[in-house]
Amino acid sequence: MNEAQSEAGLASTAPGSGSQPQQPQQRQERLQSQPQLQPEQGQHQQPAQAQRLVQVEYMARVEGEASLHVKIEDSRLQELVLDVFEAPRFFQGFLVGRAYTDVPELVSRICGICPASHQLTALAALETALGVEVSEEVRLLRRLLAVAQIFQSHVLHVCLLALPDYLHYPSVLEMAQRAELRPAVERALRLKKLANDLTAWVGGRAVHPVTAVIGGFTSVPDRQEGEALRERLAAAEEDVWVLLRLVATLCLPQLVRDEVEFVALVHEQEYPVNEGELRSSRGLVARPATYRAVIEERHVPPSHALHSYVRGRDTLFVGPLARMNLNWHHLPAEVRQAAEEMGWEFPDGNTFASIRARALEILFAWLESRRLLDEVLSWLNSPSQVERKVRPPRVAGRAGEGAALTEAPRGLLYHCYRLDRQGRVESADIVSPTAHNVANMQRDLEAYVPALLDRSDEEIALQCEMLVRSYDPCFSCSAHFLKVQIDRK
Amino acid sequence: MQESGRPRLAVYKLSSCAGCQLQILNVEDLLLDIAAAVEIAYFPMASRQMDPGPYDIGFVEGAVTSPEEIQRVKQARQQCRLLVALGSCAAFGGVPANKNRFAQRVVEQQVYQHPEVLNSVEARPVEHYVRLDATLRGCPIHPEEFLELVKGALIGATPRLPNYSLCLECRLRENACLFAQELCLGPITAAGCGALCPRLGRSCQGCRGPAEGVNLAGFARLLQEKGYERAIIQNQLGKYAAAAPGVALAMAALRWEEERR
Amino acid sequence: MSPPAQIATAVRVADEASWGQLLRALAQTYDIWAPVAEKNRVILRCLSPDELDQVKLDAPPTLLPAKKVYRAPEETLLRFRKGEVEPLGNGQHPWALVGIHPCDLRAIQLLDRVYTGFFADERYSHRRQQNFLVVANCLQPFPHCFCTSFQSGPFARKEYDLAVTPLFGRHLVQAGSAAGEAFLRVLGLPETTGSELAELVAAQAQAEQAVTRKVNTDNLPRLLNMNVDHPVWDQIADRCLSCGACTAVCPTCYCFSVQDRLNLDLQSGERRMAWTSCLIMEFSRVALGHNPRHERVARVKQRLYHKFSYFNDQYGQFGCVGCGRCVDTCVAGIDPVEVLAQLRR
Repeated sequence: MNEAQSEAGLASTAPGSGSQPQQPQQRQERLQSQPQLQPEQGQHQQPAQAQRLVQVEYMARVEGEASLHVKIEDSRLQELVLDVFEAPRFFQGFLVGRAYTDVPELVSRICGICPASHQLTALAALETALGVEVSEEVRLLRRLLAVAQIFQSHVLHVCLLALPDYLHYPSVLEMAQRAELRPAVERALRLKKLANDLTAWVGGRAVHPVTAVIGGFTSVPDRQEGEALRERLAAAEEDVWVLLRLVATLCLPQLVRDEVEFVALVHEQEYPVNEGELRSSRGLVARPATYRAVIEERHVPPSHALHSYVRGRDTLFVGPLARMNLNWHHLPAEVRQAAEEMGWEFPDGNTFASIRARALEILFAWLESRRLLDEVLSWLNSPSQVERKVRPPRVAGRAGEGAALTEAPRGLLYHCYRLDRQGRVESADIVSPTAHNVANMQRDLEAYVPALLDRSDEEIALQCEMLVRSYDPCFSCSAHFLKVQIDRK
Repeated sequence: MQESGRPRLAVYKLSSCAGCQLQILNVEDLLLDIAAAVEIAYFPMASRQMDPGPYDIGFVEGAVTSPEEIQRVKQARQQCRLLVALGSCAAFGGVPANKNRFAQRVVEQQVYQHPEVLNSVEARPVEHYVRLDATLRGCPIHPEEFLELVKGALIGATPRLPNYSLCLECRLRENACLFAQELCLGPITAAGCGALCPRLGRSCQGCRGPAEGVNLAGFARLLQEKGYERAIIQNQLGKYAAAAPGVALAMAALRWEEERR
Repeated sequence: MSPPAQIATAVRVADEASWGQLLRALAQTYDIWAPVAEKNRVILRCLSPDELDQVKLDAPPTLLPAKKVYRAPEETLLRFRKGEVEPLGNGQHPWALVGIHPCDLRAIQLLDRVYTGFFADERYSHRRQQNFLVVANCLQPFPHCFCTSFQSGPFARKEYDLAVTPLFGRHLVQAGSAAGEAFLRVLGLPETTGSELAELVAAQAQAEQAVTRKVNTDNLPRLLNMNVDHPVWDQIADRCLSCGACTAVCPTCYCFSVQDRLNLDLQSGERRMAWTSCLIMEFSRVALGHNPRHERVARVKQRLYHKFSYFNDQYGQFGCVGCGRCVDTCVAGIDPVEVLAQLRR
């Protein structure tokens, strides 16, 4: 290793040191690195090298921070470490002692990409604990808020985070410089703005909305703005379809593990967003209150991670693909027809098909937000009546416990709170979609990498990144895990 | 600057929710123009291309909560000609600094069974470790202010961003005052959000941190006169700005006055 | 206090229907700005012709005073593109301000001194000439009013086009200008000869008596100038939060700042004007960072000295009209009436 490399932050890898838990010193070196990809210069200098080390020091185009270390010896995968080095922020710790009214606002800050999901899940859990019922109007407005956010998050992921991989660009900004791609990028940005504006219409602003509170909303959306949004939504039809067709042109890698267990909410009448019962592709059934009886987290030192597992079984896979696999028949007919038109079939066990599920959910979100917006606008003919229906009631703090499960853009989200007699938090339990998925990501990587061993280090790194990105992981969301590291002998 | 003459921009992430970085991407109308006006050299959340420094302007999102992050923020300072706090976490400790109320180990034990393997320090704003050239407030930042800063960097001038109280902005927008009914931080919080929350029927929660020159100690005392407990006042003032200058002092003054009585 | 001679012109009587007719007639020539109650507050805003029934004549002071129609809290003055300037004109249709309180009317007169005097502001002057003022006399004071101390209410004396007093279910209307007189003549409202005149005089006397909050204005500038180190200043500086809300709502606070905003092309942009406040830190900051009012006490004093001393030095009148908005607005409960009284103790 030369000086330039060590300045660039290439971690030295003395034999045998790879399986040690990473020490702070090593991390500091790694964090100073700039380039995203550091193959150990293998192909050029040491063609016959037996040991290869593929490192992605700082995974790009995901929310939050993670790295991946793959060690290959004698053409065998020796070691694979997916390291989430996002610093922990201890939400569950500092929520203790806070008034219940502070909770939705604070947990929103777990994630800037899906803040509404955290808010809405916390609200549902706290309302259960406090015995607060909400009106149908509140329920629908919350569904619109959540759908708008799925819309926004999926457009962000598909166009800005995932597409550059498939089209071989470092980012969407380089894509926009190509005349033939520019219109598609502009369409995507327009869709993203539309979804953000929808979120802001209900929630006040797109990132960390402010109007959703215990029992209701502090203000009613503005009618004129809503009518303008209705026009823009109608005009966005072509943008949605162009995006779908673009995704349909992508040549997806294939990774199917037969043993994988898809987990999502299932609702009797509708495609699940804020409500439903937990189900899995292998027969699991649970409600928020019984979630902990079926899903557990393991914390095995020296690993810093809390991994989610189905009790008595293995890892689980949540997210749009799981939702689609388990709720196919609750999708609007237009969405199922679109899938048929694109030649996509569900259930689909291919992890990489997540991008198709996301594209279809964009169509779903577009349809659903039009339906919900129309309904909200029809109430706004008599705004004062709506105001009464959504106005938050006076709620007295009291002892109780409540849990809630929702479908965030990235999948199943669990919040549970226990309150003391004054309504202050005694304990909080939060499991984000990425926390649910991270152990499964590791399993996927372990299954995927052996098939790639004849490829160049750069290609292996890119393929691994693409696999991880296909989960649309949000490491900021993983409120309570620090690092994933798996030792195998 | 590079031969292109465009300033090189970097975006760093520390302990944060990524929402302020997302706000950069949320300037959809102008995103491609910004990318044409500046060279986005290092922005991992948006691009796999991570070009080495030095950079002309660096944005730091997040509070500093670990030894690695201390190193990173120091390195960011060395790499960037101008360094800007991107949002209230970087500026005032933000939401992560809520844990500072507890002894570190106590918080850790709430989450981890084996806290001894963790490596976390008290959450601090960026300026605790390195000098800053500008601050973008807010949880999240306002995209307009980000734009102003980028434009300022392009012409070599510090933009004038609101540093007076939200109350002033709120009155100018003719919102009904919520102070009598709710604990509103409008009088001491910095303006610039258009008084968003009060406009929507919610009292100001202080996400933009204290404005310059406001009377934090007087405000804490006023809240106590209105019957709020000290713990509530502490929680509220510290929700987004526990590490902002003046907040700890105002709370200490309150405690001291309480003890004197 | 006010002799009947104050009622200078003939009084006309309008019932509910003819008052509505009057408003509709006004709306044909003018955009109507009036106090309306909505979303738990009273604001002054432009009404569409079918909203005229919302005009509130007995409303508490509007959140922002009439100054906002002459200078919006934020305005774009001009746009530019490298070397070219596109002025935006003085804007605004002719409008009628309907139902402003007499104190706010007085405040407009004070703003005239500032904006149309030696340093004339073309934009302001233009807008001032375009308007028609209908003042609504106050029968009942609001909790923080002290207008009588500055002879700015509760009944208007001059410089209005029309004055209206809602009394016993009718509107008693007087013209205060040729334009007002002409307008009433066209409308053909009957002149009163009967008891209404006496009722009006009695109502005015009663309204004046009901204003119990008073400022003793005798030698007030001198009193202030002799008490620059009075302990009361430190006491209120301790409570003042420096939020500046009082200046936003003050009908005579006229300070503004101007800022140029570039577009991303760095070639074009606009020049904006926004109200500002002497209570905020940046107000008095000069180049290189020096700030003569860095201490809060200096800022607190600046505001009150300006109202009760400096304005008087410059224009021969007090800069306060006793509307009580600052008291109403201050979350820390600072009350100039109280502060000035303490100086006399």
